[in-house]
Amino acid sequence: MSALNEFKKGLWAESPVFVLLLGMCPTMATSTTVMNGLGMGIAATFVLLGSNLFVSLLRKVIPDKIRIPCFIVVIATFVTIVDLMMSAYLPDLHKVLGVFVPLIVVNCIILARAEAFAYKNNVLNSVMDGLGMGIGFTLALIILATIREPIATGRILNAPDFGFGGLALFPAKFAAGLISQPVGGFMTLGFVLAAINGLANRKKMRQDAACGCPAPKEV
Amino acid sequence: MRDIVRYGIILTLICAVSGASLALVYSKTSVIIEARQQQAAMKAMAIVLPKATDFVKVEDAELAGVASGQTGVLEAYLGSSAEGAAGAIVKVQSNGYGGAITMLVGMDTEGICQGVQILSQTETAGLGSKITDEAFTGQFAGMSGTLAIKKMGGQVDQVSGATISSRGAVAGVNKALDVAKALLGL
Repeated sequence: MSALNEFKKGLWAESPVFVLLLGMCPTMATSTTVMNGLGMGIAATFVLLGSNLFVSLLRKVIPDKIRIPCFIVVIATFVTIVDLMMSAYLPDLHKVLGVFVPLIVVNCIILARAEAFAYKNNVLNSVMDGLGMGIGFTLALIILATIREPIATGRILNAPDFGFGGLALFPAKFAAGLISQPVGGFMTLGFVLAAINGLANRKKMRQDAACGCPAPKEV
Repeated sequence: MRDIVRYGIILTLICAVSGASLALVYSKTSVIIEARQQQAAMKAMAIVLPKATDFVKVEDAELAGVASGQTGVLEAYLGSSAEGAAGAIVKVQSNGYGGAITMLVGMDTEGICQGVQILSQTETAGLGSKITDEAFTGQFAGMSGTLAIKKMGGQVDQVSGATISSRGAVAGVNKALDVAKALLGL
């Protein structure tokens, strides 16, 4: 049961992007289109899964003092594997994600999960944690990209790797290119975080009202 | 002291396993990657010089002599078909608004531009990045002489809102055409 909880927490309750606010750099850079977000998310999930699995397997072997270099070697190995595979089988995606694929090595989500979770937990829980966090990261990227891609380009689901040009929502001349820049990414993230927090607050207020507790003061 | 040796051995073992697995993946994927890159390069060359069927790379030393002091001339190819020489392709780099623009330019034996492909650029997304669009690159085919954008009294339609990117791209095309002419002895 606890393994399932480890998986579920990463999806939303401890979403790496929306709650832990980790991995902002790849988030801003790759949530420009849904396809890029999905590609980055899958790549990061694979690395998270691999690094959590091996860090957890080796947690009794790796001495405390040299754990960080060991984690980095494990993470870097998986990142390089992803980089090579992607450039062989999904070249267009690899071209767009560019330097952000090798930079998964320094994605703080991955080192954070290795250090904070996998090094202290058994293999099953670590794998579930990695999978949950990876899918949570992917989900967050897709949510941001679903907002950013249409505003920035007027189309959605553009996927050159699969020969699909995307669905046109409105003419490209009305598109706001700024949203595909990091500035636009932070703006989108700000609105999404505000919406998430607003909804959570309202839910809490309704619960408080339902149980007859004094209503919380307006903030 | 003992600890250092122990740590060293553990780290070495982890690195060795990592290196071995990477070597395995690399040996499998490098073949595919290389083939794909070659294919992409051939496709771009066929677009910029459709008449040619065969391409021969110009030696770096010869190219440096022809380019005579022009910077950013990267590679050149002589194209030929069954009927003989078909033209030349030059890969150049010029400066845009956000950095270097790398492009492939093809010219036939009459000195007429046959096509332009932007290979890589870092211009502003949605503005300068439109220099990669067919609408912009497609207009070079059939042009000759020294080109300039319409804003500067030339013949090339600039990308609106991206004069500097357009000017950078046109400068690159001019440079490539100059080198191509020198290569073909025009």
